[in-house]
Amino acid sequence: MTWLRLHLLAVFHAFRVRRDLGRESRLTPASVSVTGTCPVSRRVVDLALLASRRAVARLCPVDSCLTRSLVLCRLLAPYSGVELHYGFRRREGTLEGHAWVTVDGAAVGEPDGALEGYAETDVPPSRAAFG
Amino acid sequence: MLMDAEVDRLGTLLRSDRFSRAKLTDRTGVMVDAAGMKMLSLNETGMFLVEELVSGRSPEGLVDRLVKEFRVNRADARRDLEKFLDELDRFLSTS
Repeated sequence: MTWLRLHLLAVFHAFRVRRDLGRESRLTPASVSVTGTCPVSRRVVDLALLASRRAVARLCPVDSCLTRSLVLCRLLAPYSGVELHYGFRRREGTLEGHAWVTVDGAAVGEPDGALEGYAETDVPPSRAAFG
Repeated sequence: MLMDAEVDRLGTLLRSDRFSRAKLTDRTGVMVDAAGMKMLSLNETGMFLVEELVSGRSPEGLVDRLVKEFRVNRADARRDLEKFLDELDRFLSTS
C-alpha cells in the first residue's frame, strides 16, 4: 500500500511542478517547507526516491536535480529530518548548481562523491522566506 | 555618492531569509532569491562586499575594507563600490 500511495503522490507532485514550470517559466518551491515530526524508515525513503524519479521522468518537461528533489522533498514532507538543499561549485571556470534532499543529514540517492565541492546556501530552501 | 541609508537598506535585505548565499572554495559566491528562483553569481570582490554588507558595515567602512583587502586606491574603491551597489540593488529590487 505504501508503494501505491507514494506513486500516486509522486504523480500528483510531479504535476504540480509541471504546472509551476508552465505558469511562470520558473520554479517557486514555496510549498516545499517540511514540517513533519515522525521519523521515516529507510524503506519509505527508497520507495519515495524511486517514485519521484519515475514520476518526474514521465510527467515533467524538465527532468533535473531540482524537479526531482522538489517532488521527493514534498513526498517526504510528512516526516522529520527532511531537508532540501541547494549547492554550487565552480569547475574549470564553470558554475555548477545542484539540488538534493537529505534525511537526518544523509543525502538521498546521491552517488558517492557527487556532492564533493558543493557549497550550500546559508539558508536551506525549505527554511527560506518566500514573501 | 554613497548614502548610509541605502547601504543599510541593502544590508537589511541581505540579512532576510529570502536571500541565501553560498561561498565557494575560490571565495567567489552565489546569491539565490528563494521567492523568484533567481540567482546572482558574485566574483571574489562581490562576495566579500556582500559579507561586509550583511555585517552592517557603513559606506566608508566598506571603502576602508576594500582598500585594505584588495590594495586599491580609495577613489577606485569608491567607484567600484558604487557600481557594485547599483547592480546589487537592481537584483534585490527586481526579485
